Amino acid sequence: MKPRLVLGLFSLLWALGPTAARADGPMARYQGMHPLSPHQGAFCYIDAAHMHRVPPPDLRVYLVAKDGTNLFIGDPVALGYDGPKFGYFGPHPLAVPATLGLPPTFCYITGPHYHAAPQPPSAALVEKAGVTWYLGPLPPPADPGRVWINEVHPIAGYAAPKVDIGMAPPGYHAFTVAPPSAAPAPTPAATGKAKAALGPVPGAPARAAKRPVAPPNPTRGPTAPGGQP
Amino acid sequence: MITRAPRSAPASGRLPAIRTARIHSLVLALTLLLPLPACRHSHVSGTASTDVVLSAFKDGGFDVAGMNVVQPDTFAADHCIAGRISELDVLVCEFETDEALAAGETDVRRGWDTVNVDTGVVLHNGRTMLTIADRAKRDPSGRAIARLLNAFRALP
Repeated sequence: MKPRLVLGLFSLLWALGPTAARADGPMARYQGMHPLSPHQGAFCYIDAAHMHRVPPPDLRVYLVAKDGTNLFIGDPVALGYDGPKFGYFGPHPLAVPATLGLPPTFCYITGPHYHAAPQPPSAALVEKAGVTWYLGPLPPPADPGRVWINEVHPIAGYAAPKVDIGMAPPGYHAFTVAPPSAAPAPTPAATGKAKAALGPVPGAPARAAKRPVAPPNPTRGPTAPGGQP
Repeated sequence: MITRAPRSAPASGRLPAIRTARIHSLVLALTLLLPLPACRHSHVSGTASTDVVLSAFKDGGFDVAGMNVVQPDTFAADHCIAGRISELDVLVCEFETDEALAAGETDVRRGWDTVNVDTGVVLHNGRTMLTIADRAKRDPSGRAIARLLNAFRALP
């Protein structure tokens, strides 16, 4: 610890702006772009490691690394992002920063969706009908907590890529994702860790049907449409 | 105690010897004294200088008039500039070693835990550290911060 630097920074902050009130505690860490709380369309476009005073309001669309860094893994367009976008259909490997120490990770979003970054070149990824399809080995069964990502409602006006399973390239096999109702409700502790390959539920339907009850929010209680707490 | 040399003109035969002695004394004094302030304020070689960083920000369309050289106030950083760009608190520091850089980044992050910062970013390019703090939600979407980061990352 170099207290002099902290003191210097404090002096800078106090000298440059309005009075700085004492914060409540550690700031939340983020890696890359992510929707801003309360997930009503505002988006953070900082594509680097950064910190916010406000923690994620909905961990269904995040992975949390061991150091507490939150990595957004949902469909950014569905939550307000308006930058360059790349279409996908169904589950596929996710490119996550190696610095986070996360295991190989899949996106378990069923159906058409977007991400802000293209996939690195891979023989298992084929582009057709304007979206990327994953033709590789079956992904590990999803952690029950990860399946909840399909229950996050997009903001009003969101339009997913106009593609369906009938447009799949030859060799594509639809992946099955356990319906959230078949899994225990995720807890903050369960969803707050990067477990990409837990909770095998083979043979489950590809997409959860309309569920009779609203999915629980892993961190902030029941959610409203749009993923807001 | 400072002693002054007599101003009266010495004998003509002694003049060259006295001048030579004075010059030697001056060179010796400068040699001994100049490195003291220089070690705290000079740029660090082998990493992007704060001048280059400011130039990149300026090229990116930012007004950098509010940035000034500041006392690093630490033995970890060797040269720092600080001020406001687009109403964001910006600090750029050059470090002599990777260890000092890592310690500086850690300290900045820890510092944010105890002051009211809405958004904070610490990024380094080589041994030059860029710190941006948004304390009043001036850039809630982070677009200005992202532009600053891109300009900083693009430096050689």
